[in-house]
Amino acid sequence: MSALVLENLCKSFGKTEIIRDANLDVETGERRAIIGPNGAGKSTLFNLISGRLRPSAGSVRMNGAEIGGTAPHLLARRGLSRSFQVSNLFAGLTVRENLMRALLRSHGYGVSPFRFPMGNRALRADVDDLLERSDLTSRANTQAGELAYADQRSLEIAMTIAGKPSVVLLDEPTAGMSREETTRAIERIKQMTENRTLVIVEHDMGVVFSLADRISVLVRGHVIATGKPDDIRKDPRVQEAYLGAEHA
Amino acid sequence: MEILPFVLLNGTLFGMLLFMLAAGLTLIYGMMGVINFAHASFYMLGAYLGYQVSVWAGFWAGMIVVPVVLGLAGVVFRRVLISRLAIEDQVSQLLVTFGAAMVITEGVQIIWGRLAVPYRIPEEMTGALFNVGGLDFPIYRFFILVVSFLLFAVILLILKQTRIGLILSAAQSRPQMVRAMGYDLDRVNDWVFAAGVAVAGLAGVMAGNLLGVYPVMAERITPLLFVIVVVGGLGSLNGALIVALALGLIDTAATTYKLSAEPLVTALFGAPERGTFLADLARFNTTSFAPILPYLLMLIVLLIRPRGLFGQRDL
Repeated sequence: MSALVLENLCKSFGKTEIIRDANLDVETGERRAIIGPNGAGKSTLFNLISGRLRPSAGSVRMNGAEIGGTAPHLLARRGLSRSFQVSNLFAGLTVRENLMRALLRSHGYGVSPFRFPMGNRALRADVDDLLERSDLTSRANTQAGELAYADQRSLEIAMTIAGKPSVVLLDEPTAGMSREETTRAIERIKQMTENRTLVIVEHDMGVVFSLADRISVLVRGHVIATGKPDDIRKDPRVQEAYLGAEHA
Repeated sequence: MEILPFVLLNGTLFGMLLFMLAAGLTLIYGMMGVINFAHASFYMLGAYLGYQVSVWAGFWAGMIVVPVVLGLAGVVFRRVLISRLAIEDQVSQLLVTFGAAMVITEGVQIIWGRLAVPYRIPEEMTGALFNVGGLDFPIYRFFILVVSFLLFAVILLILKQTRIGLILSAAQSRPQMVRAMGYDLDRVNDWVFAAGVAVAGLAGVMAGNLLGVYPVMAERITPLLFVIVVVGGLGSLNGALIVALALGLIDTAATTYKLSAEPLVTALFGAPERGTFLADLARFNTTSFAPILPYLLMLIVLLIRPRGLFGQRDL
């Protein structure tokens, strides 16, 4: 069964078509990377899937159900979680407080506003577990805004998977990291998204080829090719798109 | 000096009343990015409705009914007006909320007339709690003090310990992220707006019979609220509390002690002749100066620290 299916998806802003008839089929448990030159519409595609934008036409289906244009908070409750390209941490709160907030809903603190989660042992244990898995235990009481950049990104990934989503969208999770940090980040992403469907937008080809099961290439709002990393590398259309030869 | 306890108690009382209004204003700004110039109008509506309910069913009914009714009205107000305003568009925010304040003021005059209405302190609360040096401290003032401090404790408990408090503190910096975690911020904002308006209304119910219920009571207090919220730092509850208490104490002290400049002028320059500049200077006293003090404070804070005492960003 497919976890995520896009069918003839379109998005225009005024007269400008950003996404044109995009088709995508991501299988459950698959790690899929979406690559493409700058301005191809990768972030727009993410925003369409995660409900921040409403499609102009076409459909988005998650586990068989239509989700196009559904509000972000409802999608999150249905098991779709995303990270942001620009860091979206609660900078004034500590690492522990950030994770606590991300975990609240999965511990049943979703409905009634006036409950007291602070003393909940299971919740605290889950926070500790997430700290451990993202190598942030020693930084637990540091304010998120004061973390080193790479640590901020791993905190973000931890928060993205905190609610145990079935589909995870990561928007350039290793952007701005050094080689060494990137290598560690890839390992961590692999570990933390195990048994979940992962869709990742990424510029760094090293990351894409070592992480993804399959790759889709987005060019000017259209998915021109999907395949295994090696096939994509060899695909002449992809090389054209990246070299800009299509204008010739 | 036996009046000092009275100055402290009355100053704290006035300060806590101001805080009950400023708390909602600053929280609503923190969550929704909108400065609601009609916030004090809900305080006025609270006072008028408190008066009306007290005529029909007594003061205590008003304490309960009015905040609930105003809270619901606040949700409608937010959905119809506030939610349509863009965070960046401050001119529209000013025009819409200021316009709403004028509409409410006119509406109040149509219903209750232009003169003050006789809103009375409940029978069982008249009388003095204690007497120092021939001065009475009324039970009713003590009652307001207790209620306002209880309310402050409840607000603090909710913000620091409950699920909605944890979400509020997160949403003030990153609303997108909070949505992505599965929270319906529209509903959270309804709660915040309703609570802010209900607390302002309750302040009106309690303070109306003490300070008077008349059509310009909102306009009188609005500038003070902005001084509090700006000096304390937009969005900061701690800042609002500290500045509200400070203003309450300063105002009460300046009007109670009524220090005059005359002895100083006389000592420096001798007794001034009538009609000279020195005579004008000698007439200066802290009571007439008190209304200016808040604005002077705001001016100084804005010059030195534009984000306010506890604010996160510059204005």
